[in-house]
Amino acid sequence: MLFNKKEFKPAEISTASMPDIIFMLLIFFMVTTTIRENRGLLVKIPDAENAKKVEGKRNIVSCFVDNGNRISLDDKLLTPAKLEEVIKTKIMNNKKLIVSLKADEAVKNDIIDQVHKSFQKAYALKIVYATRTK
Amino acid sequence: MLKKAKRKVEEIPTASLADITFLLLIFFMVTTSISSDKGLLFFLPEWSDEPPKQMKLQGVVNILLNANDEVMISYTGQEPSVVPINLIKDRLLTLARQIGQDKIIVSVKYDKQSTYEKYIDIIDQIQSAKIKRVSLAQE
Repeated sequence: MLFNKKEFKPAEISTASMPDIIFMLLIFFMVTTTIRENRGLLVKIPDAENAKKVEGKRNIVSCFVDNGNRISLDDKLLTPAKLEEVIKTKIMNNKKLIVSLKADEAVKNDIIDQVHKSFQKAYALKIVYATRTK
Repeated sequence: MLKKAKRKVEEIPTASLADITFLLLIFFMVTTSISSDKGLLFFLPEWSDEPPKQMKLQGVVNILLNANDEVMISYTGQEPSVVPINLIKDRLLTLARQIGQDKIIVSVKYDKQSTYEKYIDIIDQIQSAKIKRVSLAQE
């Protein structure tokens, strides 16, 4: 025969670069992922010694009150009366709702009082004053 | 003459490196917890449209925060006294001993011009004193 049959050699795929590829993917997703969080207002929450972790992350809704006496919930600016309505619908959908009040330490208790009243009228009685640990 | 042995290059198996990486990745994914909310748990009193009744309850300690961020503690039968914020805890602990740990009720009232920070300090001090029954006074 003219043509010699060539011996079949199984080609080996090098797996040495697999971890590098995985690392690359990992780092790519780490960089591009943003943890979904409702961005609120810029507040400096007060310090407290007894700050405890709040259980049940999915039951927590954050309500922000900033220096300029603005109230925000779910990325929307609200008035105390509107806040009551929003919380009311939320509490109807989830009885175990906990409202985390993220208020700036410099705000006057006037606005806090209005927020308290909105919560009380909406029957959201379990609240958390967001604080940092001292 | 001695024959020089041909040197064989040892290869380190790298096939399992990917598995190790995965294992590490999954380990850290499971153990990492995204910083959760921290704060002081508080139960608001129920809302009533009627003007609050003058309640004659035993063992009610009133804490008042005025517009100048000063704190006063008053309890029936005792002279009301202005207390520095960091001493509220000690004051409450002595009162709790007098009244009884499970009978004491603390009622907090704040002026509209007082600062939120001081209010939180008061709540913090009350929680430090391990007082269970806390209420917010309504006008």
